[in-house]
Amino acid sequence: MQLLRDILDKQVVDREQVKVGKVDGLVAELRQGKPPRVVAVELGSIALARRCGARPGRWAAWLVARLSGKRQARPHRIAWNKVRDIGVDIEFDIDVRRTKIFAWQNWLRDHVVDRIPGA
Amino acid sequence: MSSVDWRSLSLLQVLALVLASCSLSETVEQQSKLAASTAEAAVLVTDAWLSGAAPSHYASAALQSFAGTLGDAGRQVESASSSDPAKRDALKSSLSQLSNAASRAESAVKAEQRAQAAQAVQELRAGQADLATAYRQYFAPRR
Amino acid sequence: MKKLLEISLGVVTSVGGFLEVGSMATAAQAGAMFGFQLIWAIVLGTISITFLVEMAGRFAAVSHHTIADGIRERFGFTAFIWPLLVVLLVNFMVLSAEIGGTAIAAELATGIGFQWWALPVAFLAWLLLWKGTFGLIEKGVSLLGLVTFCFVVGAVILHPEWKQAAGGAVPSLPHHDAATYWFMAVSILGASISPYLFMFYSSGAIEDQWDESYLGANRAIAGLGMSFGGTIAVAVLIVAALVLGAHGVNQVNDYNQLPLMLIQIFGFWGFVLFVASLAIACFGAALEVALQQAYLVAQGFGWTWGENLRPRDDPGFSLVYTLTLFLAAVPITLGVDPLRLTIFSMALTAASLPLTVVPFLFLLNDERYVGRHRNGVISNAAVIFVIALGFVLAVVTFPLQMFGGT
Repeated sequence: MQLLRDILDKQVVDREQVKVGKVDGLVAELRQGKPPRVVAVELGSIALARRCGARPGRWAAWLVARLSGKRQARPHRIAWNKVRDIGVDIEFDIDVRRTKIFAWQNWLRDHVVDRIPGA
Repeated sequence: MSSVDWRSLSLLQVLALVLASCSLSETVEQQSKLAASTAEAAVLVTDAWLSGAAPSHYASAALQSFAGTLGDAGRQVESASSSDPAKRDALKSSLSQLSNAASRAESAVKAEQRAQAAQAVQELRAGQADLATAYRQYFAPRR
Repeated sequence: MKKLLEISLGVVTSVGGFLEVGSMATAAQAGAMFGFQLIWAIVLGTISITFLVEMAGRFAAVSHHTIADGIRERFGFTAFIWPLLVVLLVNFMVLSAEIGGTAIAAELATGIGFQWWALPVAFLAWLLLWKGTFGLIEKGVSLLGLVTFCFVVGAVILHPEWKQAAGGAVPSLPHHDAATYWFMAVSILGASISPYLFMFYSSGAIEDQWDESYLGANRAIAGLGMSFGGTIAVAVLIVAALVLGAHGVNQVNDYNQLPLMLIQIFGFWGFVLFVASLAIACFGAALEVALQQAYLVAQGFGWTWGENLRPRDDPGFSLVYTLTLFLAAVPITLGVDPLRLTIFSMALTAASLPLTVVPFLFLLNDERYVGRHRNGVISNAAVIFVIALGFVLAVVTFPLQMFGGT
């Protein structure tokens, strides 16, 4: 399997088929004498910004740290051994509600959307 | 065409360098054509109002806008430098005549005065004829 | 039977998507100034968009990816970001123009200045997206859009010289105002080949859960829908040529001139029909463009999206269309002339085409996405043609804008 071609930028869904995000980055383990092995996928703005270069990556991390605290200033990671199925989307055996990936969408829901009548 | 927007600004920059002399007669030509087209639209709108096909609020707003365009064209022609100021002034005065006629049509529509509106149409028609004559003379080959 | 109904609804929807302030304004200007001579630009634009829409639908039905998904996945995020940013910008300008078009219709109907209508129009559009479902928006608004057929009726009543109109379908060199002629050709092409149209169409195919059994329907909808849309645009051009141009109103640079097109044919009802056509066509397009902005962002970043979900289930998606709609109303509220904005954004659309059309060549020939439903020779030739056209447009648009823009 060609990782960059087949995995990167694919849609990620959780076990309930909820759209979680795209595979914004890959974490691979270098092994001596053997091909590298993927250990996790990364999601989120910091991972994306890093793909545009080291400097945008630092800016994104700084911005996220300012907005939501130092603990959030890393990309979200999902371990590769949780992968269940690779088709149109990549399904991971996780429940997105138990991760921090949707923190900003939840904030948006609680602070903005729910205050507008008719949502 | 309104006074200055960024497009005409960049246009001016380019033209100022390349076509300094040409651009002025081009302005006169463009503005005259625009005025002829706008005057005809003013006639059509007033006629439509007279026959009950155009509501008053639309007709008066349109005529106000057309009068503005015509007045603007007159000012642009006036400020254009010309080798023959007399011909330019004739052109300018026909444009003012049209602008005033459109304004009168607008007031007539606003006041629901059909006779005045019909009168304004006649003035617009006369202004169109004057504009055509002045335009022909302005661009007539000099001998 | 169900398929037949779906096809006819789809056709109606595509007509609604095709005809908006851009195609109406550019066709009216071209007809008034150059008679039937620029019909070829509408025909060329319609054929091009038909191919692109068919491909977008086929891609979605077979691969279950929207075009935006496909571009990001196939080319990676660092390549995707360019079409993303450019399309977001172009869509924003187009949305502003559509809001402006609706606001002008409201001004014509009430006499209250268009600036005052921009925010109410944006609010109404937002309310429909917030509360409505995809089917309601797609089908309801488009059915109302059938009122624009009054231009076709008008064109027939005027008894144009059909032979001469057919002659206009063949490209020819201008006899006067050459720069303006080519600028109008570019704007017409930009108005016909809108990226939001095919991107929205692929999102719609996913929303309606298309699969391979829809390929025939897709072809029918793309072909019929776009040609009906093109027919109406040609009708607008013919009416403008015979009503405005023939009377000597050659320069349509004031939106107050536009209602005259139908007033001269239908009298007072012509005024009503014009206002209704403008309002519905622009409002429908505003809804589609605003939704497309949200689709594009949500699909690009993998968020949950869907117009059938409640806003609280896709807050990110809902936030994008909310922000876009209200921001796009701002220029109109500040008094930017909607007609000028329209012509400008159509030219900008034309210039942006290479970025959005080049990916089609790769996506529609990639077996991993479309399997055995790959592009044939004709479709590929069409894409290559549109790409070439797009590059030409991208190069000539800005010089022409300077010298030929009205």
